[in-house]
Amino acid sequence: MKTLEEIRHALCQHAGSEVVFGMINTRLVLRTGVNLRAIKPEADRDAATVQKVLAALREFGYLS
Amino acid sequence: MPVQIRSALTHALPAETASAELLEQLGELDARVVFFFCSHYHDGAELSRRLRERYPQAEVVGCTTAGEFVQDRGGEAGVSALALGAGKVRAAHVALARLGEAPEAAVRAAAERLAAAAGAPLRELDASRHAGVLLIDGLGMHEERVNEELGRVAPLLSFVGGSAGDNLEFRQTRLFWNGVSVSDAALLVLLEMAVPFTITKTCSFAPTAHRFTITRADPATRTVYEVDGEPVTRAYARAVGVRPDELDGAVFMRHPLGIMVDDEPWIRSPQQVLPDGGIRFYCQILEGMEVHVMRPTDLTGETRAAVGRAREALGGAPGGALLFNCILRRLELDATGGHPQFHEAFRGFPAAGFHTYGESWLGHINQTCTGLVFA
Repeated sequence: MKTLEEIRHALCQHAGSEVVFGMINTRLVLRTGVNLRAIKPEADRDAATVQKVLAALREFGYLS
Repeated sequence: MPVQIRSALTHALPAETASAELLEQLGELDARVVFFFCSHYHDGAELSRRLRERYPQAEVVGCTTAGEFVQDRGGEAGVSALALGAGKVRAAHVALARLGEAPEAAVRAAAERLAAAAGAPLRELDASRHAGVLLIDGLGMHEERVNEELGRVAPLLSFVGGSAGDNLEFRQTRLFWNGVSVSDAALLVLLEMAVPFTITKTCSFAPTAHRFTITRADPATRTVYEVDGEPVTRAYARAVGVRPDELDGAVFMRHPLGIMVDDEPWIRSPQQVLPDGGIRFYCQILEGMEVHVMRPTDLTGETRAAVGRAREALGGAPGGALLFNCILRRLELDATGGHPQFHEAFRGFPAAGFHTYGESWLGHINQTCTGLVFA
């Protein structure tokens, strides 16, 4: 995955519900500052940000 | 059905007298878990021993505080308690994490012990039936690392809780479990709930038009140095309408920073201006984070609204609550004489809690009242 938008889409499918997505997203924001519900255009394709988010989600056990 | 929940509050000292008063108020109850929150003047280990003697089937967990309260009253230098029977909590498991130099490893090991007791890894437990409570040393600055590790081992479980206090002496905070007293530690409590529950989190702030991106920070010391490339004291002071040399506790209390997630603020409270020009917070803020300067709203009104939302989520009146209220909110209530109105929000159901050095839920937070509310 190369964009935050792709990650958001994958996480939505993986989470299965808005509640679960919201919980994971809040943990993600508090940990990385990146909010997948409000992706900034300049961050969407930023490789470092994408990697940071992917690393955090893998640690949570989401997205392999 | 016998009574399933009672709260208690005493200001008696020493522990022998305090525990006798608590036991009289808690009365006959087949308790599965007893939470208690005591001043640092109390011998909490002795309190927990005596409560455990009376309720041998119960896990008895507690910590020191910056003030204690139940649903209709509170104060300082006392003890509050909440006892929950099997009709509220089917099972309670506790694990101690001695944090030291490796808080993540300590939490992982504690989580494994909880998983063994529950019969499944925490990440596989049904999050609609299980809730966690986290009590943690309030001076070790390990809250972020502990919450992050909880996010790894149990991403879907809600661990809600507070950082132990010592009523603003900032010397030592302690945790207690069945007669044991520890510092530099966390207690993880896993509750298999017998009734529906929800998590409440309320603060009394709204975002202003001023927002910054953190451009230089030292998360380890919870210090921010620059926002938008400008010294933080200058930018923050301008946003709140004072000179940098006028920044003090009163300004900080009214204007914390907030990370907005889905229109909900996650508050980071400033603590002090450092000689090197940074502002130290009670919570980490990372470089790259966008934060809003907040303005105060109505603390007691927001608390009532939060209880209303919990009532809605539960589909009826709450049956009880375990609450963690920030010391900065207590100081505001002290200053405004608002304690009676604060307690009024919890009228009609047993509740107990304490004034904390920080709250936990999904992460470490400040200036909230956060808690577990159940049917």
